[in-house]
Amino acid sequence: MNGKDMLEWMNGLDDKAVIDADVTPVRVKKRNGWKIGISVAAGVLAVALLTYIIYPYIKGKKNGKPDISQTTDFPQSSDTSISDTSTAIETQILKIFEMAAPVYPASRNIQQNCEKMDAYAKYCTEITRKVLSDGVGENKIFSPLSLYMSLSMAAEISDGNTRQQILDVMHQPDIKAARNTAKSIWLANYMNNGEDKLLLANSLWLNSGWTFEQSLLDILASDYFASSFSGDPTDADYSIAYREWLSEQTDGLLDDNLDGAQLDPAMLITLASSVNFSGSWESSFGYGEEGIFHGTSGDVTTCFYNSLGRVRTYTGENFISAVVKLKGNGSVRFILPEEGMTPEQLLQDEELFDFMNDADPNWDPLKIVEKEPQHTDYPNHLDYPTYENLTEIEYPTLTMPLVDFTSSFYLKDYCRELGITDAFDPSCADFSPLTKQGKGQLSVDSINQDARIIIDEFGCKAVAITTWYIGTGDDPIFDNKIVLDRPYIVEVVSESGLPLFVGIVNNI
Amino acid sequence: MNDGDIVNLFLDRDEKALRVVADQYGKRLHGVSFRITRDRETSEECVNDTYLEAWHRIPPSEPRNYLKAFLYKIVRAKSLNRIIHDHRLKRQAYVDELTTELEQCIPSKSNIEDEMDGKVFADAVNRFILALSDEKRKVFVRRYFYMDTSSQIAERFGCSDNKVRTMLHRMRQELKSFLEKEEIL
Repeated sequence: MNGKDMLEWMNGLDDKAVIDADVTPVRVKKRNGWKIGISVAAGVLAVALLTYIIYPYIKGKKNGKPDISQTTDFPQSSDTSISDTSTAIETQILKIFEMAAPVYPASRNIQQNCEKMDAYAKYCTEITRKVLSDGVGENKIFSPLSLYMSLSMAAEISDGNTRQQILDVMHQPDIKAARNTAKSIWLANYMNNGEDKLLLANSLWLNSGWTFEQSLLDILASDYFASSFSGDPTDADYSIAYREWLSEQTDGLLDDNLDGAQLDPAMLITLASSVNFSGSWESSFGYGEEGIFHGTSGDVTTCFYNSLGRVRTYTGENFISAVVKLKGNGSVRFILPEEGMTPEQLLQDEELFDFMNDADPNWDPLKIVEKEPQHTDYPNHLDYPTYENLTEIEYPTLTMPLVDFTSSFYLKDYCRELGITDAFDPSCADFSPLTKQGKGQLSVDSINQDARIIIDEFGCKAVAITTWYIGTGDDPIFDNKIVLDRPYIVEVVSESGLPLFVGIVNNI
Repeated sequence: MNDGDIVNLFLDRDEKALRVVADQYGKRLHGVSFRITRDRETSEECVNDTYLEAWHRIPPSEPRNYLKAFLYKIVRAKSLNRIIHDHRLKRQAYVDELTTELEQCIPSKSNIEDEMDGKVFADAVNRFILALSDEKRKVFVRRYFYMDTSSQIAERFGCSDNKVRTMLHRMRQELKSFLEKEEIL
């Protein structure tokens, strides 16, 4: 008899226990949409989103200033966590727990810095490679920006080696540089023109049983535009407020994933960072025809849509990319690996990331074609042909299927692989800037990201939310509901705390 | 279609039974196998083998009330067998981790070379887990039946990895005491 035998004998476990344990995960809840097997598009689109989110941010790298053609309306309210559509009750719930709220500037700060962009590009390349290389064959959508903002806040609330390891992953020399970069990213990208928007939001959810440094919460509010809330994590209202916040920041697009999201009763700090993007194509797509998508799970017949507007291409050694502009809100780059290469394999290509991190790559030249002579109706009904403007630019066309899928990532292991270790070890983790309590007990339990992307003939929507759970690693607590459905002890205690009766209930 | 009707199709030797099982349980069986083998192709094969074995085992078995568990156990056994014997799958380290943990439950006075009846062991473990709280039982089954990692369990139940590891450690100690007390090993 050995452990292997025992492992095999576990096949004899009680049927009911086996089925009972086949519970739906609390947070792992993927949409059925990905099952159509369009993994190639998934990889491409994930990369496209990445480009899309950082496009406006890095656009100014080459010309010294970012794109200011888009007008940005910052919310005038000091409370970012409440949208206009929030109900009064929701607002009230969030207000009850609020400890610090950001105050938005009146205008956008568009200062950019090439050094900052290079640091972000390095981080982006490394983390994207790690995250998207896993789960070969699955649809995946990941927001490096959402993780970046949460990493920056995590660096802010930590100290010593814990902080340094996080800064190293972000390629930032010190906390001041990280803070400046995070703030400039926020200011340079936040926009809300109604349908077209890029909303960034950060928040901290604190356990009211602990004492926190208010001065640090104020820094997070001023430089990270982060709202801070404090409450009892076992309080249902606090979890409701948390879910409301997540839902509001993602326009409800991740509600399926976040439905079961609740604050861990043992949590000390939960940190959340969201990105909410939406844009309409400059020229919409026209309905094409049915075709076959050759996914990793097999061929699927679907409708393909053809671009009607200006599309530019970039031909790399191992891929071709088509970029489609959105109205004043960046663009989406679709990147197709060469035949026989998977998107995951392409992630190892250096040229790919050079291209993705470049705001203005060397696009393929456009074709100039001769036009047929145009006939113009003159007022006198003389039908003269005109020979003016006999050439025109021929733009490439893009044919794409519609996509809508969700991904869930557990990012702790990727962060560990990139060098963040102390934050996960209670004996090394240092969160002293935020709280002087719990030295030697606190550590990051998990880092999760849920994201969704929708691309259709009208535009692109994408949302992501990254959450960090920092706790004390106490005994397991799964929920705050106790069911007395098996033998238990009963004790009756007086007002002074004196036990008056103690008993055991074995049967009812 | 409910499990009783599906079992009747098997009993009638109607091949539609396999299609229905694949429709109703295919994805979950694939999930169980994939979590163990971490290989899509292998898990596909294990699931197909499961359908075949179910076809051979019903009749005489008639798992009307526990068809899902019946299928899970077949696919688990097939998947476990594959990862133990197919070194290409590179799951040996994970199997070693699990077996080492389970060996911690063997009472110290027992001889690891002793012959042991698997059914007696499983019955004892069933008595042990049925006395556990609902949450603990689920964690135990996820770890040693579904062979989830502690972080997968933590994610599934929305708690921390540390908590799961602590809980499993304590349950192994309790199981060891239980087996000693019951003189099973």
